[in-house]
Amino acid sequence: MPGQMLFIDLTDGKIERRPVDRGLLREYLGGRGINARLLWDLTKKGMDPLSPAAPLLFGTGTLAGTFAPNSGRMTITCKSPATGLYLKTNVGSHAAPELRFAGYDYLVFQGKAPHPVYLWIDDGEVTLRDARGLWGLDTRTADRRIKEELGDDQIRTILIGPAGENLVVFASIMASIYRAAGRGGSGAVMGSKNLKVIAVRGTGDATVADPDAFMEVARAARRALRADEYCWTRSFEFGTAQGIIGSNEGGTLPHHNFQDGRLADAYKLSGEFVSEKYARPEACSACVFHCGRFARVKSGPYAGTYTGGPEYETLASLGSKCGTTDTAAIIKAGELCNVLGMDTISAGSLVSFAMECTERGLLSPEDADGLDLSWGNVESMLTLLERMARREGLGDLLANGSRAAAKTIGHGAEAYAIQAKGLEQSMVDVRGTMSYALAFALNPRGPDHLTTECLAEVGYTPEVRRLAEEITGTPKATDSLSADGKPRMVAWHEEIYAVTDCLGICAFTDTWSYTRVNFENMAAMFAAATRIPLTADEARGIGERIITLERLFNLREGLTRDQLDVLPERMVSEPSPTLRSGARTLTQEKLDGMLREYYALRKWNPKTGVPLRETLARLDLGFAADEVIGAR
Amino acid sequence: MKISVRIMATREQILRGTTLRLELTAPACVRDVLRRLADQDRSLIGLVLDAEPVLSVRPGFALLLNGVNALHAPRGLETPVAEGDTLSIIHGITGG
Repeated sequence: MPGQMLFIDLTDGKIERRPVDRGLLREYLGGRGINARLLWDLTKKGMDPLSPAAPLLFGTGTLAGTFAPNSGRMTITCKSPATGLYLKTNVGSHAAPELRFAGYDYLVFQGKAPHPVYLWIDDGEVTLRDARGLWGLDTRTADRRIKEELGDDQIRTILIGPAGENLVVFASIMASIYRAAGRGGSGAVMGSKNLKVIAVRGTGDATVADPDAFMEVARAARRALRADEYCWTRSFEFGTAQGIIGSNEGGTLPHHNFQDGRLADAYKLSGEFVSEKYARPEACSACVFHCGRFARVKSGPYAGTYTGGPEYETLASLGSKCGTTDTAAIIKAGELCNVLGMDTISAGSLVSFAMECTERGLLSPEDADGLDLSWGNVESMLTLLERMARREGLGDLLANGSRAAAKTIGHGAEAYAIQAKGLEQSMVDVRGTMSYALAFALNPRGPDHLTTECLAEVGYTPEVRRLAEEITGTPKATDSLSADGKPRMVAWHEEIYAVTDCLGICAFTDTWSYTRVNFENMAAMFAAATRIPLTADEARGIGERIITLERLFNLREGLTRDQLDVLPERMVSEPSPTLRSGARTLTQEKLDGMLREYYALRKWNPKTGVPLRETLARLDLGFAADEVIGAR
Repeated sequence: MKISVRIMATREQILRGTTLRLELTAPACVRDVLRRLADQDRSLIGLVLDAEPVLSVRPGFALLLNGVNALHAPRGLETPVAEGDTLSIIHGITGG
C-alpha cells in the first residue's frame, strides 16, 4: 500500500507529511511518473536548477520493497544543471525499499539549508541534523561516520561526495555508496541545497492490498525470469560487462573518444575477464539477475582498491574511450568516481575529450597543469578525476561539462565534445544501431541508454524477433542499420521503461529478458498492490503520458525540435572507420526521417515536434496545453 | 578467398581471442561460412550453431559480418561474403 510523501523545506527546516494522492497514483503509477508531474507543478520556466526554489524529488517505485522481481529501484528527478532540462535518474541498491519500510514513498526537497545538514529518517521520526562535520568527506567516509554517529550499521544512506558539494554538473547521488544515480548532475542539485546525506532506517514492511493475488503474479514473473537461463546466468556470471565483446566486434565500443569503435585487446574489459580477475556479483534488493559487481584489486600499483562495479559503461568510458585497457586502473578510476560522487560516463567522457583536445593541439601541457594527457595515460586520468571533483585547474573547466568546456576552449573544440543537449553520450556508438540513434536523440535528458534501450533490435532469440516484429509490423526491425520500424520500436521501449521505472522494477527485466516482465504482469502486480484496477493497455497509455509530459517540460523551457531531438555532431557527420556500413550508415537525413515518422506516431506536430492539443487532451495533459502550445 | 571468423562464445574463446582463417570458393555467402565451420568442428553444433531446422547460430547469439548484424540484414544468411571479411559470433545481450 502506498506510504507517505515527505515535503522538506530546507530553508526553514519545516517537514510536512502528506498521503500519496490516489488520483495521482492512478494517473502516473508512482516513482518516475509522479515525480514528473510534481516537477512540472513545482518548477517554472527558466528556473535555475541550482537555485533554492528548484525541487529535488526522490520517488520510490510503487512496488519497491515487495516480492516483485528486481523491484529495488527509485527515481530521482530535478532540473539538470548539465542540460538545463528535465532530468530523471534511476538507481538501485537497497535504499528505495528501506524508505518504504520507514513509511515514505516520496521525498520532496526545496529550499537551501543555512549550513550543511543531513536528513535522518528513523521510521516515523524525521529530523534534519547538522552535517558540517561531514561536508568535504568522500561518500565512503561520510557513510561510515553517519552509521557510527547514529549507532546502527544497518542504516541505508543516499549521499553526495565532494563533487556534489562543488556543484560539478555531472555529480551523482550515490545510494549505499556504490550505486549511482549518475546522469545529469542531480548530485550538484543536492549539494546546492547543503544536503549531504539522507540516512534511512525502516523496520516496517512494504505491504500490498491483495497479498494472494500479488504473490501469484510476482512469483510467476520471478519464475519466468529464472527460466530464461541464458539471460540470468550470463548476467550473474559476467554482469553488464558481458556486452563489451559484442560492442567491440560490432565496432560500436567507443575508442579514443568515439573516433573509432574497436580495439585489439578489448577482452581485458570484458565481463569474462573482470569476473575472473577482480569482481564478484552483487545484487540490488529483490533482484533475480545479480548483474551488479563488487571489485577488489589485490596486487599491482592499485592494490587495495575496492568499489562497486565496474559496469559496462564504466569500463568503456574510463577505459576504451580514454585509450586504455588497464583494468585495475579503470577499477581505481571507478572507485574515485564513486567516492567523489561523479558519474563515470560523463567523467570518462570529459577525460577523453581533454585527451582528444590535447591530441589536436587545443590543450597544451600548461593548460593541463602539467599533466600528460596522451591517450591511455592512466595516472593523468586519475589525477584529472580528482581535480574535476575538487574544481582545481583544468578540472574546474571540465567540471562544467563538455559543452561548456568546449565553448571556453574554442578553436573548434565543440566537435570533440561528444554530447548533445549538454549531456555526454553513453557508451554505444549509435552509428551502428538505428534504434539507439533515434532513442538517444529523443531522450529528454540527453543521449543515453537508460530511458530506452532497444536491445530487441539485435533479435538474439526467436521470441525477441517475434516481439520486435509484433511491435513494429516489419521483419526489418531487427536489421540494425535499417530505419524501418525503428520509430515504433523506440516508442514501445520508451513506454515499457516508463512503467518499470514507475513501479521500481529494473528495466533489464524488459530488455535483457524480453516478455518475462511485461505490461500484463506489471499491470496485474500494480492492481493487486494498490487495489487500483489497471489493464496492460492502460499501463502502456500511462507510459505514453509520462513520456509526453517529460517532453512538455523541455518544450516549456522554450527549446525547438532542432535543439531537442539531436545527437552529438560526430555521430551524424563522421562515418565510423570501424563500421563498414557504407551507404547504410547514420546521417542527419536518416535521423530526420525516423523523427518525422516518430512524431506522426505520437500525434505530434510533424514540423515542430510539439504534441498536438488533441493529443494532450487524450493523455489528460490538457493542463499543459496553454503553457506549451499557446506560447508558440 | 580468405574469410576470418571470430567465435566469442565461451570464456576461453573470449580471453584467447582466436581468429580462424577459412578458405572459401567464391561466390560464397554467410551460410556457406557457417557450413564450413560446422564441417570443420562439429563441437560448434550445440555451442554456437544449430543444425536444425536449418543451419544457423543458436538463440542468444548474434552474427556480425564486418560488425553489422548479418542475421537480420536484408539478405540474412544469404548475404555474400568477400575476400578479407570478418564474421563474428557473439552473445546477443549487450549494454547496461
